[in-house]
Amino acid sequence: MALAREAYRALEDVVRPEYLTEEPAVLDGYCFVWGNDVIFGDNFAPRPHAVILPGSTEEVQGIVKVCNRYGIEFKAHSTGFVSAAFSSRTGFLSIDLRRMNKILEIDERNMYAVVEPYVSSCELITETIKRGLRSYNPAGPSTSIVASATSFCGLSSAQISAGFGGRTPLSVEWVLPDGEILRLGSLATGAGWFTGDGPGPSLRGVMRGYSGPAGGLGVITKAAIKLVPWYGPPQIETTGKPPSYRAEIPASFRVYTVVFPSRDQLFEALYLTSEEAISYACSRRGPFTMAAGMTASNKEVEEVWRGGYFQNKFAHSLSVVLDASSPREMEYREACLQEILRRTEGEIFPEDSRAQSARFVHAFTGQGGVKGTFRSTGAFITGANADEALKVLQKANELAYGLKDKFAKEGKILDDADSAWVTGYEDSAFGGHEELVVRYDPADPDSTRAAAEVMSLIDSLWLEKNIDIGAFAGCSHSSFEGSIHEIAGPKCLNYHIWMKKIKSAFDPNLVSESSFYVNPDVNNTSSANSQKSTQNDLDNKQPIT
Amino acid sequence: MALQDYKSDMVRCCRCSYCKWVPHMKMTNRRFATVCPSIGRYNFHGWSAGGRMVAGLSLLRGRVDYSKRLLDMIYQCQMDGGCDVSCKNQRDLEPLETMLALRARCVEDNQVVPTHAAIIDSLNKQDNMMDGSKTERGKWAEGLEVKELAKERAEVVYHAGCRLSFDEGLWPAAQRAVMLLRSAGVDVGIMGKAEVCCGGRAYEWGYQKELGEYAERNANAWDTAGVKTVVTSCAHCYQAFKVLYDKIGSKLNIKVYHITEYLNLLIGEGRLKLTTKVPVTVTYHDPCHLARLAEPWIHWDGVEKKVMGQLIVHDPPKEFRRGANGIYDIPRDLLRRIPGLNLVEMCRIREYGWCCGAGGGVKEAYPDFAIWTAHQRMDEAEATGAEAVVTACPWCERNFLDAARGGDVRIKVYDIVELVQRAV
Repeated sequence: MALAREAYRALEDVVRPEYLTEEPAVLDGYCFVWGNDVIFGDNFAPRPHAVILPGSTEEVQGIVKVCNRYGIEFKAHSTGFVSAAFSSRTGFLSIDLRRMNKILEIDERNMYAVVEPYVSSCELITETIKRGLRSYNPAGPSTSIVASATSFCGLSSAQISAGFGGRTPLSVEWVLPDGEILRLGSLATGAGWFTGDGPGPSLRGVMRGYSGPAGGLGVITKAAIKLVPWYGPPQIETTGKPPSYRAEIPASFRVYTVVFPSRDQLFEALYLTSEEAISYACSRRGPFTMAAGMTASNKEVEEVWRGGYFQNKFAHSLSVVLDASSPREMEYREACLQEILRRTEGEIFPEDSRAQSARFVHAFTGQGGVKGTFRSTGAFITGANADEALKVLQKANELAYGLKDKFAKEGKILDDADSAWVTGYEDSAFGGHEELVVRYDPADPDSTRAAAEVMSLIDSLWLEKNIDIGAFAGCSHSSFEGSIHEIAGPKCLNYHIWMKKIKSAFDPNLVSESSFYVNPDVNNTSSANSQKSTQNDLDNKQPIT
Repeated sequence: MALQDYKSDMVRCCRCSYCKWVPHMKMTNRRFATVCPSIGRYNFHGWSAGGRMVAGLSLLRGRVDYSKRLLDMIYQCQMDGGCDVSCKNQRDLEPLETMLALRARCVEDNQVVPTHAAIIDSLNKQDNMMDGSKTERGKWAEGLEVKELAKERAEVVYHAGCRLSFDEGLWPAAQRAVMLLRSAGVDVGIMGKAEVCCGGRAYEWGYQKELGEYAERNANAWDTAGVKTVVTSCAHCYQAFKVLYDKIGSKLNIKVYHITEYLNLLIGEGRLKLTTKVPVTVTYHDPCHLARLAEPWIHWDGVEKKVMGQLIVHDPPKEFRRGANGIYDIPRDLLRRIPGLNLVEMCRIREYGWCCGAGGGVKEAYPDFAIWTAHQRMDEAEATGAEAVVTACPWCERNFLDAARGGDVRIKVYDIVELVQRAV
């Protein structure tokens, strides 16, 4: 459905006409993204009404006000590398923040950077390491640092040292769904960007909660991103040719792949490594992701995989990257790691420079993720997302793998063994994050359907076993349209009711498109009922065993 | 291959946007972190390789119809292949080939850019892409007393190409090249008025049959002339002779050299000596068609199949062209051999270099975009502290010179052969 002409002209008044379009061929670029097929059974989601490219906070505000005036749903995105950026059952005004791409400030003394939404994580790290600092690095180098920190997920290959995305934003500038500009934290009092929690209003929980509103609660137009020390050189030297560029691992870093006799010992080692806070990165990436990430082609992956080498050697393995500010500190960290390995019967597996480079660059900026996921089959989807105690993750990992294995054996999805990703949190030695990877071919309808079915089965199992209900709240494709919140919410403190209240209060005209957040109109009756039964649910909640 | 042959690639594009950036491991300065002029200038996702993959899919599925905006989206692109390198650093897809197929589909459906259509019409009549008269071709060589191969025999044919033949301001580049070859004792001649277009630029615009026709005409002409080697200063011609002719099954039976390769050989053999100091700090711009697009064509005739359930492999195994095997070191070696010359590098070089802006029909149909792209490159060149940017393609040189005329540009522009000649 096209925008009313009056509304279109009002939008043209906000930005120059060249930055607004209704051209179908252009709009199709804003409803096509990986994972759509699992939701819609098609690569394309419904087409947006129009796309607009604001260049400033004022223009974003102007657009949002027009949307309120004419009742137009809008959703903003930055680099747009996820379904949540575009997908909806109905069209809306897509706000492409590409022109808002400035690093406004890098405050070395107070260790933060103020950036606009289109600044990618790799761009920011490229500039901050020149100053001895780094930001956390979200899901790949081309992803927006602001989007990951404020609006969607925020997982990171180095979150064990630099923090989860949700702990990264300091002050932010936020165009609310009604067009008002809200500045959170110290910025609101004119004291600069150094903190998000005051002086000034602290609404970080509302702004992003656990996993972010995925564009369903206005537009973040600027954010201060926390930086942490970088102990490497101002630039990473590289050699080689595509697709096998190699990084020179800095002298202040060590890269290890550590193998364990059992899953129990792997998780114990992850726990101890988190507790000791010695690592730059520490994660289980799964044998297939490791193989895909370091090989030059699918053919090479096939060869190494058929040999059984990766699945045999790395079924229970961790990639561990250590950094240190001095040789003495590195000595200490290595000694700690050795002690952890002694207690868990872990062994450092000797790897060549190609493998070590792949591990390092993934930890550094998330590079290699696309190779490790999309190259093999064309697409992937993650399910069984969980942010829980490591012991729970361990059990969840086993359960989810069991569901997936059947489809893999039938050849409908990639038979990539136990492909769960697991990593720890910097602020929580006992907790971590897990995702089970399902690789499928979006060009093959049978494969796509199988991926969707695996996801559905895992969701059901998760709900049945009460495994990390909170993970449904955003990052999974399962959260599309929010109906799953109606089932998951009552099992988890009725979080969905609070989300709806926040949504209603901040977005009175319901114009901030929220397919991946929450819809206040969905199932209100059952929500009210479920509120009454909260205590019962809590009492009856069965921990998984 | 036709557009529908790339349907799986289009569906499998994940919208990671890597095609917009230099390969991330090569990112050293965010000011020069992008690789695609098209998305840089026009911003909407459709103006990227990923966006054009979506457009191609939409067209195939009948979701969209042709429109001026769609043609702009497809043609406001230099086809420089930077996107292809960045994508293929992670994926086994063919974005550049898909974009070529999309353009070919447009031409097949008679949906063409009017400026291009007029030039192609002229090409068919005058055998050049410059809207010049074929009777004027070879005029650049007047007074040089170089052999005309219609009348005399020679070992080597120097092919000036359309740009150098009809852009009088650049004639010295062709003249210098011939003089250098002769001074090194090379038995060189030219086709003069009988020289014809390589067909490469037309192919890049989607006019595919023209490439085959010119491949045949050039091969026949050189065969008749009895030459064993063709040397050209034009990166586009070089790529057509070496890569595109092979791609379409018309591989030449004679040796193909870019002038930089040939001069390097002559220097290596001691037939040219660089002895005069040229005290200048320069930076080298990799012409796309001498760089990533000059990577030899890799023939593959097989099928895609699935193993391990859904792992996509090719039978027989397919080797992808990922852009790193173009001509990168030879021009740099040439420059380093020049006494007193100091070579400094830009951020975006080799397979992830930024285009000059002149390719893909942009110079002809969207001249403001071509100049915008050149300004980006010249800014980058200036940031190195160099006094001059050196290139090895007349299309780059022309576009840089045009950009320098209109803007606040400090840096000088040199053809690489000019510097070599000054050093001899």
